[in-house]
Amino acid sequence: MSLVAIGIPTYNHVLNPQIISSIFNAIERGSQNTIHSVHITSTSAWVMQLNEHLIRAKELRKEGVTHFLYLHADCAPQTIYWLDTILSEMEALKKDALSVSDEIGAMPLSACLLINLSSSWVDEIDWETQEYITSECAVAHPEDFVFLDKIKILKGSWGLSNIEVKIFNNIGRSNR
Amino acid sequence: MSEKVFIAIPNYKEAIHSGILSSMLHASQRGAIHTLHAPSTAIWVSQLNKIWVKALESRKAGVTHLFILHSDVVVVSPNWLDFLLDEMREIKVDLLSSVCRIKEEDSDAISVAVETSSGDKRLTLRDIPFGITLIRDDLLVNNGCLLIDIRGKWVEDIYWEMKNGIINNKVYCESEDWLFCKKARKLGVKIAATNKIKVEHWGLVPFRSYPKET
Repeated sequence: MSLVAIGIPTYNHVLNPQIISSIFNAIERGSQNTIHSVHITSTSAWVMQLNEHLIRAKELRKEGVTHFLYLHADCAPQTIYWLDTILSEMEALKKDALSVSDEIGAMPLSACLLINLSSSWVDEIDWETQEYITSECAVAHPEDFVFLDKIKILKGSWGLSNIEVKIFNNIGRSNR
Repeated sequence: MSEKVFIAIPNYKEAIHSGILSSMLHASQRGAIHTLHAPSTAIWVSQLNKIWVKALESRKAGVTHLFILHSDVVVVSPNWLDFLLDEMREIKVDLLSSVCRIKEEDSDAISVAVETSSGDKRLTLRDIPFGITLIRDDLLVNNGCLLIDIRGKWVEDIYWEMKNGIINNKVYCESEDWLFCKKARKLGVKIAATNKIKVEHWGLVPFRSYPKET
């Protein structure tokens, strides 16, 4: 039985409309899993926004929240009851963090990322970004990889799930 | 009474205001949402007619109402769809729009107007203060936050269009929503606008390419 807090960072409050259907179809009626809340932020300070969501999710453990799902504003899971699926996959695979990839593995790692808030490393981690020296560096070392490297250092483990996710290219950062 | 609503959010470039997700999550406690449809195209009136056709087709699946929401309009009040359905049934109208401020600085105008002999006149918040539902025979409403009962026969005889022309050597263009109201009224449709729910128009500033001259 899982209680999931969802965080969606945006720029200028712009959201792909498909995400509405994704949230409505996330969990099957009668499922033991529940969405606790959907929290949407909007700022140009991207990494600060990630940490705001992570801090909020950690705080929500007091209200019984067990998982944090982080979803980009331009990524819409298409599979029916997709959140039930990745929660059960996370449990079966015994992973602390599960990133959802599409069929060709083209998803940015944090675009649809589920984190088990009871993992030992959760309180010792934050998002940070590489110092961008060149545009190539920014592309090669986004904050997603820094974050996941940190999980490994803290003895956590992460995996990839393979449910259908549609990425919409019209919004999001221009350097991706 | 089991009312099922086809919700349409027409948009440009697959982008909507993020607050609409919250609007949808707290729209109805009694599960009134049947379908969510968010088509994207630059051809606005064509998009509205496609929505219209889909909504009418959905009646076979039990859909009773169409709700059109613009992609920059966020409904703030909880259970707002339940309220609109109840209000529509109570006052016996076929079209019920919520009041939404228009995007012009220094203006208290809203998306509701009345038809007059000298041209349509936009109403202000003084005409429909918060807490009021207005029913008038000459009412024209915008489709930014509009609930339509599609169970009547009249829905088969109407479609969305923009009307262009020349009057007194001046070109004019009549918006598709006000024209829809005029056509609907001729078909016996009752129209109302309510300011009993809180609706926000994203930004409340006009889209402008150049700074305003001072």
